[in-house]
Amino acid sequence: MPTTILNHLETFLILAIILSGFVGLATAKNIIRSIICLNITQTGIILLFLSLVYEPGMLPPVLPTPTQSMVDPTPEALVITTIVIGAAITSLALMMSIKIFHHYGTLDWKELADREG
Amino acid sequence: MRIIFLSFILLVILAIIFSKSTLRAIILLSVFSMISSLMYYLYQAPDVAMAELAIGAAIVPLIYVISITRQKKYIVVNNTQDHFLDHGMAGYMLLAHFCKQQNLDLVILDEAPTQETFLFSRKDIDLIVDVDKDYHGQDELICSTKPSDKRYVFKGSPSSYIFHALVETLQQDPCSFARIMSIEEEETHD
Repeated sequence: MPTTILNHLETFLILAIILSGFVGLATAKNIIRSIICLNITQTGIILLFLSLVYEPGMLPPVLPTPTQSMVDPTPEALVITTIVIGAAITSLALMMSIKIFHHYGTLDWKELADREG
Repeated sequence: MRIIFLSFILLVILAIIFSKSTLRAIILLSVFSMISSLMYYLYQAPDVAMAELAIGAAIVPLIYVISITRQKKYIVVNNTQDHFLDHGMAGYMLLAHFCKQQNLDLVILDEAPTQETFLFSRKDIDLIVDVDKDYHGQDELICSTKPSDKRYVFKGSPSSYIFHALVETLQQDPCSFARIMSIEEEETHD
């Protein structure tokens, strides 16, 4: 059945997005790159949540739609909170990176490790 | 349709990871957020798509750009109340040369003198320039050669690496008008 294969391919691609965020986090040389990769991972997890409840032919959960043909609104309600909290965490991390730069004079992970020791 | 957009998102992520400059990575992050908000719409979640378009594609890159312009600033408070740090004068030339070496932007603030530890703990101030009040001629000057009527003190927090770099620069080519003083930071009590 081609539809199930396409569904599996979608899930695979979303997992690839999450994993590439982790890979970027592991290989980032700069603190700001690390924060960007955290954002990427967050977006991938949101996509995973939304793709879990979606089935083809369904409608958005807005009221005139009959309940049988709308997607489950619970993950969407959870995920909006994630977006806002992600923005707050990003700004906090960037503020800490400014402090680190004014203290150590660099944002490179290796040089930071050297200057720490 | 969705698979095409997901592959495009993966391409944008690769471009972010392998991009050379940080600013380009931030712009690509905005593009990435826009495509993913389109994906949310295709997954029948229009409210999440609107939130992502407003927050993820506009506000978060704005915060990134503000922070990377903010961290280049080297903030100096001018307490001397004369023309030592005016444009073209000796102190300005010294600090501007140092900031050019360290790839920073020099920002000079004129402020009324307050308590220094308070300044260091509350604001993002890196250096305070002040008139040396207890200069008698045989202090621990960096180089005490020519007598002049005024000496200046550079005060910074000793744990900062940029301040260490400034101390090393002053030791390499000594000048007669300035000396270094370290101020211990107070424990944060807020």
